[in-house]
Amino acid sequence: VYFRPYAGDHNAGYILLDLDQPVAGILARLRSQGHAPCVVVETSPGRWQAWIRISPQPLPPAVATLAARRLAQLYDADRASADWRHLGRLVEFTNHKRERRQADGFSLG
Amino acid sequence: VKLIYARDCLAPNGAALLEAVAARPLPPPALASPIDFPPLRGLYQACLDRLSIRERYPAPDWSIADRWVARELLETGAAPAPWLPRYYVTAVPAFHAGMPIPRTTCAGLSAPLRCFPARPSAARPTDPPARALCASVAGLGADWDTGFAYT
Repeated sequence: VYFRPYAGDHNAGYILLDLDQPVAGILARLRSQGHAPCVVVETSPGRWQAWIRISPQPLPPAVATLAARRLAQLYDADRASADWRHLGRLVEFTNHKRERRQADGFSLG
Repeated sequence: VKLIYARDCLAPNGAALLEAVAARPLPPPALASPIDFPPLRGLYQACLDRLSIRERYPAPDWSIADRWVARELLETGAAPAPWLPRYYVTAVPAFHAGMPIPRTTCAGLSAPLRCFPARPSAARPTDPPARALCASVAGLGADWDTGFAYT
C-alpha cells in the first residue's frame, strides 16, 4: 500500500528520499544539515524511505522535483525516485515485492 | 514496512533548499523528440477513454491514472514493455502538463506482467496504426508480439 501527502496538482511540501542503501549515521547527517526527516520507514531490510517536510505550503511540481533531486544527490538516494509526487510505502503494511514473497504466497512483514 | 522514526517537524533548512533550487537556472527546453507527439497523445487519450477515467474521476490523481494507462497498454499489447518508459517521459508530460513518470514506475509495471500467461494473438487489440507506431518508435519488427510483456 502506497501513499503520498496530497495537495492536488502541487506537492504538499514533503519530499521522499528513497534510501536503498542508507549509510551509517545518515539520520544524524540529515539532521545536522538541516534536513531532518519527519518520518523514516524501513520498507525492507536495509532499505529506508525518509519523508522530509521542506515547506509548510504546497509547492509547484517543478520546484519540488528540483528539491527532490538536490536532496537525492546530497544523500546518495535513488535519483529515479526523486520527483514531486513519488509514492512511499505505508507503515504496517507488507511489502509485496517479488523478492520478498515466500513460497506460501505471503510476504515478509 | 516498519516505522523507524516519526516526528512532526519542518526541516530547518527547507527554506534554504527551496531558495537554492529557485536560484538555479531552469534547464533548457527538452530537445525535440524523435517521437511524433500527436499520435502518442491519441494513444494515451484512447486509453483514458477506454478506462473511463474522466467519467469516474473528474479530477484524477494523474500518478495513478498514468499507472493504469501503462498497465492497460502492457496488458493489451498496445505497447511493448521496453518502450513504455520512453513513452512516459515524452508523450505524457506534454499531455497533461505533469512531470514525467519515474522510470522505476514503468520498470515496476513490466515485471509482474511477465508472470501472466501469454494471451492468444487473437485476443490482442488490433489497432494497426497504433501498433505500427509502437513498432517504429521502439525499433521493432512487425512481429513484436513475440517476446514482449507476456514472456
